[in-house]
Amino acid sequence: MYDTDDDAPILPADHLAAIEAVKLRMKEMTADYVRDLPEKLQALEDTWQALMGRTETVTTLETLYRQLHKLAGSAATFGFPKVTEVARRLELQLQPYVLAKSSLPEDLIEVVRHELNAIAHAAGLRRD
Amino acid sequence: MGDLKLNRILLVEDEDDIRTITRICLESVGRFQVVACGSGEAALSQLESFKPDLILLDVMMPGLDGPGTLAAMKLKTHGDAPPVIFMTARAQRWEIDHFKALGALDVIAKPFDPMTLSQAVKHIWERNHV
Repeated sequence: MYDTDDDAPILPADHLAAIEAVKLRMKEMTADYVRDLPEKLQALEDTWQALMGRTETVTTLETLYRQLHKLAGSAATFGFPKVTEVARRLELQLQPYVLAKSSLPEDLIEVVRHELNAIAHAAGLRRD
Repeated sequence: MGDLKLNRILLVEDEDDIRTITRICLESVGRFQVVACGSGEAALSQLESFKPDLILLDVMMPGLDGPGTLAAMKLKTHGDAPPVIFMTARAQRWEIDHFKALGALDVIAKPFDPMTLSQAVKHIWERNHV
């Protein structure tokens, strides 16, 4: 954030201690996120399978879109920038169909399947 | 706008992980007084009791979303709602322009680095209030 250490503001000792405590908490939360990530990806997979089962396709697509949005918004914060990148890319591809409340065209289905696998790979959870 | 000091922030974010780390960082790094809510509906109920200087508002939430919450706050306060910064992964140029047109001070793109968030918030505040 600063060019040199000399440019950084001098903070009171209690503030520095608080910042160190935050860094420690951040490490703990990152470990929790890593632990919970397989569950989040399984939820994505379950939604995708429900969508392929052709039941309630519009609301299920909205659910998939929301799950991807949350993943895109959090993964990089906890050390998974590639997961954020792919989830965001897929979210944008789904967006027009969610807004139009329409089902996915056939040619996008293979793309979604590929991108969900790419998310699993990026998370270190190989699926194929 | 006047020369106001930023102290009290109402954080509205439905995702537990992000809400928790954001609150901790705003309190410990930024030294702000923070109340965190998990929904737009909960945020509305905090407006009068907490009297925030600023609201950090997630865009996509179940139920009342960010823009809906902002609109409801404006109604509730007769147009005198505290300034809002939206937080969103939907941060393309046209989306940022759209959120500003709704009345937001600015938009912070998600995902963000929690350790530098307070500085980003202060920067937006100072740009608009000093």
